[in-house]
Amino acid sequence: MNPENALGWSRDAPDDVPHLPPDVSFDVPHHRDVLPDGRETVVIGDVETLSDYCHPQGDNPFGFRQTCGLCSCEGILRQFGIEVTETDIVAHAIERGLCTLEDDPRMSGRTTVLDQVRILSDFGIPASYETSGSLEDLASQLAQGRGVILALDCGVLWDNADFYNGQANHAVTAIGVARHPETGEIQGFYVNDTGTGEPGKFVDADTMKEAWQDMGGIQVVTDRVHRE
Amino acid sequence: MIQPYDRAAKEFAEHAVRVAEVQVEHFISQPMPTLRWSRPAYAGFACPAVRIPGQALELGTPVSWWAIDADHGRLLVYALVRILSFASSIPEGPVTVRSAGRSLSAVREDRRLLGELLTDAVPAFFGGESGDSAIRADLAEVLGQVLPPEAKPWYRALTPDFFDWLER
Repeated sequence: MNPENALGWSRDAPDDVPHLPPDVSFDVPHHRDVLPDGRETVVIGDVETLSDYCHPQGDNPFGFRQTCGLCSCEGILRQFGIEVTETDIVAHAIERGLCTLEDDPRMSGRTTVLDQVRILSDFGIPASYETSGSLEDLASQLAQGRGVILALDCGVLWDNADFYNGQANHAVTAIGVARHPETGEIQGFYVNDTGTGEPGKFVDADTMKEAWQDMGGIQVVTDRVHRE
Repeated sequence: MIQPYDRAAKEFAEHAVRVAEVQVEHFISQPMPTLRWSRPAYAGFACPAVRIPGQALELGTPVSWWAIDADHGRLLVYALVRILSFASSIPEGPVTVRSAGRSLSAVREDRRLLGELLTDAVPAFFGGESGDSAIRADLAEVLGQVLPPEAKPWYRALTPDFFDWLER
């Protein structure tokens, strides 16, 4: 007997072997877990491993502090086995004119999404940027094993009105998606945030929608997937 | 036809030139109405910003600015300040933006209200009319809540005609 609900979920498997709706495909590790608020979930993506590729931004000898985009590039490259440091990426960006240089070094190191695409490509990971992305688009990219940098509003992400801009103003890497074990509904995403230095932070779907999708849905996505 | 402010603001913020040319981490101003270029437009600026959790927002002098047509959102002008400034003299940054101590939901509500008031008010401004003085007063009050006072000189330098009209 293979009882299924209306969405076609198989319910006869052991609890520790999550099944996914037939319309949810993925090529990355997944496991059953519990969200910070206690809800059951299926995590798609190797969040534990990819969380290692996060540290507080500003870890470079140039004094550059606005390096969330550069640190996100570093994180993506390390996801693909390219061992680089923030210093390596900042130095490369300075040399190639791929980040801002202000009189005040604390304000230096900013990147456009095109700069991020160029840096990733320079290190052998071709990528492109997209706009108007949706949560399902993002979930799909992650399920395929692509590296993803998001441009979002950190005021929403950090629940800090002083930094709320109503527009994208910060870069993070997305490393996993959480879906409801039975319905497949997106419950949230896991991100590496170098602004706070918090690895594998869970961001619920409503917050991600406001912080990222409603701010233009801008993302840099690698052409390659992790398992290639 | 002048489009609702919220839609114009979204087109301003997500314009391809902004995405491609303006650094993600910059502070992007609210687009303000103007007739500086003899046609209805919304203009805004970008400046470097330092956002460190637990510390106040810091803004540098604007580095770029752009304007879109108020009717259809097409780009009218984009320039780097060091190449083509939007005013003969721009106050120098950095400035530290004092925390208003407000919640995110309160700030969201202020922005929603600003969108409504600007949508109501701009037809008169673009039409060269004084418009309803009560709406202008409400708009001035909400702008005082939404725009950081420390950045107000840059807003005024970019769209002086709008602020002159507002305070008429």
